Amino acid sequence: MQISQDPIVWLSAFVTLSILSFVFWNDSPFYNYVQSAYLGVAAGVTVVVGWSNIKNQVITPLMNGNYSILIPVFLGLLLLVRYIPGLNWVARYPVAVLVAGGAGLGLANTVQAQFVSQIKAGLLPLNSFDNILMFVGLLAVIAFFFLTGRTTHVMEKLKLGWVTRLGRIVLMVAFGASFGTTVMGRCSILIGRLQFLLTDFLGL
Amino acid sequence: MKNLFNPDKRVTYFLLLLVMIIPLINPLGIAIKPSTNTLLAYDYVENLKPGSSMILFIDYGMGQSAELTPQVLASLKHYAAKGLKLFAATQVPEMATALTSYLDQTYKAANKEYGVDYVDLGYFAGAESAVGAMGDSIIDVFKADVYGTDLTKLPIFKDVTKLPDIDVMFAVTASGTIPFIRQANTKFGMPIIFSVNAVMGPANVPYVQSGQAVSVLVGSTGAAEYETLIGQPGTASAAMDAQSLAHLVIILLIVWGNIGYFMEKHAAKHE
Repeated sequence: MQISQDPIVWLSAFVTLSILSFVFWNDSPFYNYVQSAYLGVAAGVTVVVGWSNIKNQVITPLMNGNYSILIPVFLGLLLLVRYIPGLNWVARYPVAVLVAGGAGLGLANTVQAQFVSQIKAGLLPLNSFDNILMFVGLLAVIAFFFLTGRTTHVMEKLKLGWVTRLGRIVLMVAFGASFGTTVMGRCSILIGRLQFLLTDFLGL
Repeated sequence: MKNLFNPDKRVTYFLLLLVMIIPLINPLGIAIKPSTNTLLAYDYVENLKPGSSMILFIDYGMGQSAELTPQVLASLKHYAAKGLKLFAATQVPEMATALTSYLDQTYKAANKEYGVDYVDLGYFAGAESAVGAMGDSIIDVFKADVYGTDLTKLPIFKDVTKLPDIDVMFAVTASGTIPFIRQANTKFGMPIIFSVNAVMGPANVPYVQSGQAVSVLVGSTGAAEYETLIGQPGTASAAMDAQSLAHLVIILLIVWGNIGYFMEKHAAKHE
């Protein structure tokens, strides 16, 4: 065992242990201090990176004579007007431009990306066990969501209620897989910090 | 009896810490077998010609670093070895410095020349809108690299000016794959290799089946598998024993909790 001599590693170890202390002692002064420090550092980094972005995106083009950049700058400044009482309605214009631009950009490809391609991928040739399982699961889940209310009553009368129940089971399996991988993700984060403490800090 | 089946949460956490720490000190050497998804990503890169181009997007914060950084490092080592030209950027401000460090550990360490073989574009604002704008011009979106150099002066931009000029995208994300699919795959048919955190895995793997993604590498398992494939075991491979044991304990705890639940129910019925 060779404990690190690097003050940065010691600081990182202190921060890690302070955050982990929440698990055993809930709100400890160490936890609260580190939490606030993290927020402060993150805000500081964001300001620095933001400034560098303004420099590259606004100041340099302006110095090179690209005055069209003043239009988005003007719209951006209008966003800050919302803090001026009586004039805050003006900020709705840049927000409208942002929302309209975002919606236009997103919607243009959404139908193809999230509907058409996924529907096409669902229409599988039924030539393997995997494909049959996926196709039956897909139909059952669709039935679970659509055959509700009066339709469900009709389905029960036709002795087809098992389709919606199968859909519920398929959904539960999917949620189970999501939960399993969520646990895996959380474990990975903890293992990452333990690796740091054991190797970088303690030198084991 | 009730306390036995419903212990203090600190006992559970202590147990988990224990089963994670022991294999990290004394590795068990559980074999890592690459999954189909990881093989898809690896084989796709293997089949690219040297000199092909790749654009990397880092779209996760430090909170997900333990899970996603090993994937970034393993993949970049592979890309550098294959001689792929790399354009790297992040849409998370706090990751700008980390991105430079990842490039130093991979491309720079492999003696690749900055500005010729790879470029660090740093942070960009605008998320999906900016990715969409890169479809017209990457140079107009970034203008300068992270060191303030005018992009038009870098040799790597000689044949690449916009997103469709690049062969493959590698998007490492903890927020969503859809913006990349919409702006790169749907619009230009650009192949995308995704690397996502474990939580997002099950929801995004269907994009591989639909042909909208080349592959989706999931969580630290995906990283460990990739490290195995490139023959350079790293932090993710070392973590797999701890991960497996932790899962085993969690499964046993779930079974234990269920036994307690049914015993309690049985006892209440007979009271």
